[in-house]
Amino acid sequence: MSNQIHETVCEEKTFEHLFHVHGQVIRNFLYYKSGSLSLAEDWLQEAFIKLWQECEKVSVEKARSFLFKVANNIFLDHARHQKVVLKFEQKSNSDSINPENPHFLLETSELHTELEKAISGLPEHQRIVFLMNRFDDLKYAEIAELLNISVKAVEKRMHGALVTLRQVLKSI
Amino acid sequence: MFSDDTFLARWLSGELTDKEKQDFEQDPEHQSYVTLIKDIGALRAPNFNEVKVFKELRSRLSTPQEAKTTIIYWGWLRAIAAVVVLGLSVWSLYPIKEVNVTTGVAENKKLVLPDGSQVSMQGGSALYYAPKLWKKDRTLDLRGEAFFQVKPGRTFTVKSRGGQIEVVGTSFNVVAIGDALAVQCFSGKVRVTDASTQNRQYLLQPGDFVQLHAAENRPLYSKSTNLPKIEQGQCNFYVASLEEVFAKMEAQFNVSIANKEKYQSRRFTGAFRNDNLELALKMVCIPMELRYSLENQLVKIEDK
Repeated sequence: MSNQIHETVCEEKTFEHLFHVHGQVIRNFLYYKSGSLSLAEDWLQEAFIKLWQECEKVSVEKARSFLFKVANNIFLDHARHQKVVLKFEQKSNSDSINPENPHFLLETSELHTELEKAISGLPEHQRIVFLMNRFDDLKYAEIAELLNISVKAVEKRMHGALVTLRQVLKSI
Repeated sequence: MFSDDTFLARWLSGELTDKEKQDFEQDPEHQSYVTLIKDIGALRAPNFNEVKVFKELRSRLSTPQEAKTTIIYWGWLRAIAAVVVLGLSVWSLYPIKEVNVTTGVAENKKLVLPDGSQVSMQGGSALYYAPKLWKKDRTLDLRGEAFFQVKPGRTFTVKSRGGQIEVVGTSFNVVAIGDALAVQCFSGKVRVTDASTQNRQYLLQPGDFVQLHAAENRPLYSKSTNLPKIEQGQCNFYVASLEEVFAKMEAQFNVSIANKEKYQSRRFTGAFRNDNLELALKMVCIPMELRYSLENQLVKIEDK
C-alpha cells in the first residue's frame, strides 16, 4: 500500500497505464473540438510528452486534469476558426440493424449523416459536453471537473444540446 | 415547456423526481427525445488505435532533445566571436554553390539528392538546393510539381511561396504554383506550414491532403478517402482551380490555353495523362462539361 503513495508518473509502467486509461478520452475531446483525427492524435501525444517532461511534479491522481489542461492549451495555440465536421462510427452491436433490408439501411445511413451534421453544428461548449457524456460515458461531475466549470453549467449545456438537436432533427 | 434549463440533463441522468418524470412522460415531445437518445446511442467516436498512437508517442519521446546550452568562459567567447566574424566574411566571398535543376515543358526528371532521397520532377518545374550544406540542412526550394521519397534523417524541408513542408522520412507529392500549394502525403508524417498565416500548421498522415492558397483564406484539408491515386504518367488534382489545371497542362505539353483565367473559380478533382494532349484535354473537359478546340499548339476552351 505504501508504495502506491510514492508512485510517480515517471515510472514507465505508470505512464503507459495513464495512456491506456486516459488516452482515448483526451483524443476524443480534442477531436470534438477540432474535427481532425490526425491533429487530435498529434496533440494527444504532445500532451503526454509534456506530462513526461513534468512527471515529477504531477501525481497520478492529478494526471488526468493535468493532461486535459495541457491538451486544451495546445488546442488553443493551434485554434483554427473553421467549421468542425465530425464523423462517427456505427456501433457494430446495434441490434436494430437488419442487413436484409436495404431500404432500412439507407434510412439508417441518412440518419447517421443527419446526426453527424446536427452534432457538428452545435455550439462548441454544448458539443463537447454532450459528446463527452454520450460517447465517453463521463458523468456531469467529471466533465465539470475536467472543463473547470460547475456541474450546473454542464447540465445547462447538456439540456441546451438536446433541445437544439431535437429541433434540428425534427424535420427529418 | 421545461421547468428549468437543466431539465433534460437531469432526465438523462435519472435525477428527475417521480412527479417530474411522470409529467414528462405524458408530454407529446417525450417520445422524440427518447428516439434521439436511442439514435445517438447507436453511434460512437471514431476508432482509437491505442497501440499505434502510443508507439508513435514512444518514438517521439526517444528522439534526442535539442542540444543543451553549454557554459562558455568569457575568454573563450571572444576567440569564438573572432572566428565567427572571419568565417562570415570568407563565407560571403565564396557563396555556397546552389544547384538549380529545371525541367522543360513535358519533361520529367528523376534525381537523387546527396543523402539518397529521391525526387521525381514533373514538367515545367524548378528545384534549388545546396549540396555542400545538404548534410546539415536538408532544405530545398520548389516551384512546380514533384514527388519526394525521403530517406530518414534530419528534417527535410521543401519551401515554396505558398508555404513550407517538413518531414523526417516519408513520401509525398507537392504542387507549388504561384502562391498555391497542395501537398499529399503517402507514407510517414508531413508537417505543412501555411506561408500566409504563419502559425497555421497541418500534420498530414498517409492519405491526407492539404491545399493552401494565399488568396483564399479557407484552406482545404481532407482525409483522402476519395482522392485520385497518384500514378506515374499522370498529373493529379484535388479540388484545384481549373485555371491551375490548365496552367499545368500548358507546362506539360508546351501549348498555350487561351482563356484559362475564365475558369479560375471552378474546381477540378481528378487527373490527366501527361503523354497525350488530346487525351489530357478530354480527361478534364468532358467531366467539367467544356468544349475544347486545338490548332497549332493553341487551345481554346469554351462552355458547352
